[in-house]
Amino acid sequence: MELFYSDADLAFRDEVRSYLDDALPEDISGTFFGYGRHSWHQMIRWHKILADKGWVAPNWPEDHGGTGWSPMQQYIFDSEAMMAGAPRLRPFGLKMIGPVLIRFGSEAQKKRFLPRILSADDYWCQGFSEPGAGSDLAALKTRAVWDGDAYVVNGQKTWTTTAQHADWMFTLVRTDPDAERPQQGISMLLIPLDSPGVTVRPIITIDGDHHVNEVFLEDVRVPADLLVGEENRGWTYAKYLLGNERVSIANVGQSKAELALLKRLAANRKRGNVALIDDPVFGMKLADLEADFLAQEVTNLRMLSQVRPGQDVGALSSFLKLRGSEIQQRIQELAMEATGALAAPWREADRPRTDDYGMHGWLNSRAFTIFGGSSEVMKNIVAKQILGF
Amino acid sequence: MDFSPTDDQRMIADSFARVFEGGGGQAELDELGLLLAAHPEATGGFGAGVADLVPALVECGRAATQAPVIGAAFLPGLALTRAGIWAEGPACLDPEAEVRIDDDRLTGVLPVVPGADVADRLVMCLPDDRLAVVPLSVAEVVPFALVDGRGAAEVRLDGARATITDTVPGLTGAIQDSAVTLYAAEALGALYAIREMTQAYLKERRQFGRPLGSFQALQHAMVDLYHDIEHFQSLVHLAARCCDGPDVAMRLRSVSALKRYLGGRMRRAAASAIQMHGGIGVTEEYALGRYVKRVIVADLLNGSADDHGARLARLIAEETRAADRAAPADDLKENVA
Ligand SMILES: Cc1cc2nc3c(=O)[nH]c(=O)nc-3n(C[C@H](O)[C@H](O)[C@H](O)COP(=O)(O)OP(=O)(O)OC[C@H]3O[C@@H](n4cnc5c(N)ncnc54)[C@H](O)[C@@H]3O)c2cc1C
Repeated sequence: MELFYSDADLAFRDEVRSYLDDALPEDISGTFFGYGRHSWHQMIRWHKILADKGWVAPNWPEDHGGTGWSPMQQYIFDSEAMMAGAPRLRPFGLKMIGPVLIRFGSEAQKKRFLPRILSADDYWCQGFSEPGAGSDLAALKTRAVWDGDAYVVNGQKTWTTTAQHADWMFTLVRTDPDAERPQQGISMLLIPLDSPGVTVRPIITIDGDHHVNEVFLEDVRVPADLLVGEENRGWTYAKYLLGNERVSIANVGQSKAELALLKRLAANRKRGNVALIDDPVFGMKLADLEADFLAQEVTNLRMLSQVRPGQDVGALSSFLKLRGSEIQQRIQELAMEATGALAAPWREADRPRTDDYGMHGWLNSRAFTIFGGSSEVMKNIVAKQILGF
Repeated sequence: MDFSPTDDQRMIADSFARVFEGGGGQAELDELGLLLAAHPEATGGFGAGVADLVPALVECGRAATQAPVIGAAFLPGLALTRAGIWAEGPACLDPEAEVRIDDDRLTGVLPVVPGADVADRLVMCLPDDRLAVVPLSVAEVVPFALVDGRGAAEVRLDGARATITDTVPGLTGAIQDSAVTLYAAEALGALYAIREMTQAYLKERRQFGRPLGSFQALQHAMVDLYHDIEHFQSLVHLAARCCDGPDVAMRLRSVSALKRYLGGRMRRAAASAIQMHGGIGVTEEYALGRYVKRVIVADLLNGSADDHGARLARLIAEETRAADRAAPADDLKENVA
């Protein structure tokens, strides 16, 4: 969409491209272009390479290690990196708890945690959901009781993505069970996962992979300096965090790259005697997806350009997440269709594959309209906060 | 990315809005010279481009005006400006006239030409990128109203002598795409009106002792409508800028995406707005129908959503093949039968 890139944007894009040319290891881009899924280690390697360059947290303020890029530049960087076959960095530190600490954390917390998020020395996970608290997150029961020198935490978290790799979990706990509204009795604690009393158990998802976990907390002691902001104000911080999470789930840069990969797949597959991409029926599906993507790309840029750095994106994030997650699912759906019967054989999750882009991608993408707030809940939020119902 | 109107665009749009607020139409627009916005500057116009016209067309859609703003003003204006010629008197334009050409004589039937009921001249984009102009006095003109109330006519040419320009490279494609975009911009205004009416109706109409807007099924339908219109808005602005710009591939892509959206999501949005209104939504008297018809007319004119879907698909295939030739070998190639 060069039409919208100013000369400065174009120069920036060239700079990003030549950097990616040099810095992105070939085995990592090869995974993407081989229709594979990046491994955890590839993702962390790329995180560290970007951290050395100072480009790992474009969304952070400059004095904390951000880049000072405009929303357009951030999008250019993001989409160029994805198009070059880079892994998507995990959002838990960079997009979720990092910005929360920058805005609401103590000076000591910023000093202690932010540099280690940038360097990937600490890896974080998100302990919000519980068995009884999904969409209705404020119903969470995990209890934290002050006991002289520390909070004592008891309860269970679930769906905790990549807790098996994590050093820390930012956790919503109930500190005041008698508050008038359930939202008012919630606090946010930073819990080291090697604390006594923490147990992490895997949950295997329908794609056969280990993405998510249950986390059990049994008399886990958490000192006062690991409380974020004020006690019983956790809901405010969580809402700010979820806004950023939803924007990151909308993930337009990644969709752009995967859409391009899907087209390449379709150009290299046949239906009857023609390449699949020339088949009029499949072509029409691609055309609709392209139209929806283009509309989303422009809409996201249009809307995010109006948000100031660090500002709460609010219900806008729900709006963007809705279409973004749907488009990613449709990309995976067409990829599965294009792969056809070759997507059907079951492959073990830990075996390297080249057909991830087929069935596993589709199965995996089912969760996109569920996590970070389901589509139904996103619509409830837009109806209430944007349309005023 | 910022699509807010420039001062000039705002000024044109405000002038249109004021005319409509005062109950005015074609005569008032004409008097103020507003219908010449897209015409060449040398002939009293402002030489406005497609993007310049979008805010004004949004006002036209909101007002569901009967004035032939696109068919007999903006569209011929754009074509004449681009071709660098001037036809005396009001003109209308058919961007894809199917006519037989013998030297300077044209023969054919143009079944639906918006604005031909009021114009003196007919401008046609020929497939070889020339522009033909014939006085309508030498044609048979059968006027009728479109379903949304605007005037149009069937035009029959039987060896009519035309003034034909030299080739202007890329002219016909550019004007055809501009036609799609102008009608879409007007449909956007109508869709804003549809959205506002529906949102207000859900808040005010009560059933089962509650406002309709308290029912989740309707809230979600309203969110879908809102959502789709926001995205359509982005495509209108994008396509308009592409129509004015030099990047032809991007123009084809954005305009076809726009038309596909119009015939898909926007047609459904219009239907959904009727559904959310219940019975009142299908009455002649209630204003909703006027706006819905405006959207559907834009959907039907200037090539179908399927034509544009197919065009977009071809473009995707071409671009992918070009990119693939430059890309590393594909692992899955061995799977190709
Ligand atoms: C792969 C994956 C990764 C995740 N990672 C994390 C993580 O790292 N950390 C974390 O804290 N959580 C995580 N989650 C949890 C996620 O946020 C929840 O799954 C989500 O909020 C939905 O909650 P639920 O699963 O309990 O479904 P429920 O809330 O029980 O919803 C079930 C269905 O009912 C619908 N529904 C619920 N309420 C309403 C309503 N009011 N109106 C209309 N429909 C409604 C929902 O849309 C859904 O379709 C993850 C989930 C998945 C699947």
